[in-house]
Amino acid sequence: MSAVALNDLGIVCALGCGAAEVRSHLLAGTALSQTMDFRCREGEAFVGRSPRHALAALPVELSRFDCLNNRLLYTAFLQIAESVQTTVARFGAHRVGVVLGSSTSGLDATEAAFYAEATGSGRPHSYDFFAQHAMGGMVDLLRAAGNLQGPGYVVSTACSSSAKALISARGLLDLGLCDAVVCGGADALCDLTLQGFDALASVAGEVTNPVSAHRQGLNLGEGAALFLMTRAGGPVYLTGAGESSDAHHLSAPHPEGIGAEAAMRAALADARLEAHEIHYVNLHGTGTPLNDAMEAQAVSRVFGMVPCSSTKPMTGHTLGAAGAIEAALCYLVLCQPAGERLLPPHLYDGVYDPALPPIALCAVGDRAEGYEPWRFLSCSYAFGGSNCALVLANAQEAV
Amino acid sequence: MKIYLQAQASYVPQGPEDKPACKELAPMLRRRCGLATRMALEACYTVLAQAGVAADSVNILHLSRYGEIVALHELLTAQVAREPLSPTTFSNSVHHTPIGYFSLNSKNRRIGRTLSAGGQTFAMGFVEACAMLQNDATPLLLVYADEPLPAVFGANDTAPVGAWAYLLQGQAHAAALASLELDVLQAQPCENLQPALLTEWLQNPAGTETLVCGVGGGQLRWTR
Repeated sequence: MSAVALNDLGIVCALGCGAAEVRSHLLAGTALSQTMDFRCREGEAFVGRSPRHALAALPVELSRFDCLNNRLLYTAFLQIAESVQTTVARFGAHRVGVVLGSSTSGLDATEAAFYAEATGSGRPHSYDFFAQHAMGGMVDLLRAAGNLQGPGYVVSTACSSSAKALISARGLLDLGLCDAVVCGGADALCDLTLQGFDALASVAGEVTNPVSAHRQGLNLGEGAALFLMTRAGGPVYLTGAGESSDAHHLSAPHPEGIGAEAAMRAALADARLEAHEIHYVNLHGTGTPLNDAMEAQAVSRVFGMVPCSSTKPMTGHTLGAAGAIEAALCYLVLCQPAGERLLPPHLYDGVYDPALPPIALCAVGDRAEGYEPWRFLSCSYAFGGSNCALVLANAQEAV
Repeated sequence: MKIYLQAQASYVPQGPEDKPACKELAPMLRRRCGLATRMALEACYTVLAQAGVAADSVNILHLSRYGEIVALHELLTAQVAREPLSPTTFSNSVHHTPIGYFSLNSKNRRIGRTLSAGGQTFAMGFVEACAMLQNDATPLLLVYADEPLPAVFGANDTAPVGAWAYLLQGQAHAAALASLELDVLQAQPCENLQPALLTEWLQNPAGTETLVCGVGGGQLRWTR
C-alpha cells in the first residue's frame, strides 16, 4: 500500500495539551504523578490524567455529545480544525473521511449515569447513550464539528484500536474514496476500566516500570490524538503497517512474542525495509510481567539493539487511544530539526529484568545520529492477541 | 474496486432464550462467551463450511454497533453494587471479543479488525472490506453481529439483532453469489443499510439487478 502523509496533529494527554507542550514534557522525561481515588491490589493507582482544565467545552449545538471522552476528542480536533477546514474547501466535504480508534468511547458518561441512579440522584437528563457512549457517536461528533461528509467509522480492538484506525484511514485513501481522513483515537479514564484491570491483577501500585525486574503492571491513562492524513504533504509519513493475531489467549500475549514479531516483520515488509533501517522503536511497554517479557524477546529477535523506549510511564496506557497517541509522540520527535534529534526516554528504576534479552533503552537526553530518512516503528498489542505495528518516517519513500 | 461474495450465512434468534449451538467452538470457550460472540461465530463457521474454506486461512472483519453490551451491563451493575468485577467478564467486554475467540479457537494468526459506526456500521464494513481486499489476496470473512441492547441504555434502538456473515474474495469466483463494486462518485450521502435488506436481495433472484448504498464519497453497488 502507499505511503501516506500525516499533515497536522492535535493531541491531549498526560504530557499536556497541544504539540509543543507534549513534545517538551516527552523529551524531558516527565513521569506520571497523579493518582485515582482507588486503591488497587498493589497500592495506589497512578494514572495518566489529561490536563482537564485545558479541555475544550463542546459548543451548545454539540452538547448532546458531551462526555469526557468526547471533550478529549474535540480538544484534539480544534488543534487541527483550521487544516481540516482548508482541506474540506479544497477537496469537498464528501471527500474527507473520519476513522477513529477507541476501546471504551464514552463509558465515562454511562458510568456516571449508573452511579447517579444508584445513589438516588436519578439519571442525568443530558445522558445520551447513542451520542456519548456508542462508538458511532465519536464519528458523528467530528462530522458535525468539521462538516465532514465522507465515510466514517471507529475501529475498536482494545489497545490496538487507533493504530489500526490509521491503517484503515490509509486504506480509504488508497481506494480513492477519500482525499483526506481525520484519523486517530480517544479514550477516557473511568472507574470501571481501572477496576477491571485490577480484577485481572494488571495494575501497578506505583508508576509503571516497564522491563524492570520489579515491574508490577500498568498505569491507565487517557487522551486523544488526531492526524489529518492525505496522500502527500508531510512532514511525517506512515510508510508501512503490519497486523497479526496471537491465537494464544484471550487476555494474555503469546509468551514468546511470536505474534508481535509477525506484526513487526509485516510492517517492515510493507515499508520495504530491513530491520536495521529502523532507528527507534516505541514499545507497547505496558509494564506488565507478560507483555514486557514477550515484547523484549520479539524486539531482540527482530531488531537486536535498536534504540527503544516505552512512553507509557509518561502517558499511562491510554488503551484504544494508545496507538494514535504513541504514533503522535513519534510524529513530534520526527519533526525535530536535524540538529536536535532527541529520543523519547524510557523511564524506569534502572534494574533491567535479567530474565529478558537485552534491548537498548533510551535515556533522557539521548540523541539519534543524523539518519535521513529517520524511521520509527510504533507497536501496539491488545486483548485477544491483536497486534499492530506502524512504520513512520520523516520523508515519503518510494514504495 | 470490485470484490466477490462467495458465501453468506446468518443466525437470527427466534426468541429471547434462543442461542446458537456453536458446535465449532471449543466447550471451554463456548461456556465463557456471551450471545453476541456466540451468534457471530455460529454465522462465521457456517459460512466457512458452506464455502469449504479453512478458518485459519482468512482475515476477519467484525462489525457491531454495541459490541459486548450485555457483558458491560453486568460489569456496571456489579460496580454500583460495590461487588467485585469478574475478570472473565471484563476480558469479554471489549468490542472485538468475537474475533479474539475466533482467532483462538481457529488458530487464526491473520488480520482481525472490528469496527462500529452507528446506523452505518454494516455499510461501512463493506467499505473497509474493499480496502482490506484491494492489496491482499487473502479471503475476508466479514461478520456483523449485535445482541439486544439492554433497555437501561435507552429506547428507540434500531440495531438488528443477530449475526450475518459473508465470505469475500478479491478475485473473481465462478460460484460467486454477487459482486460488489465501490463506485467513487460525487457527494453521496452515507446511508444506513441493514443486513436483512442485503439478505433479502441475495435470496430473491427475481428482484432488482443491483443494490446500492451511498457511503460519502461514493457508493457500494452489489450486482448479481
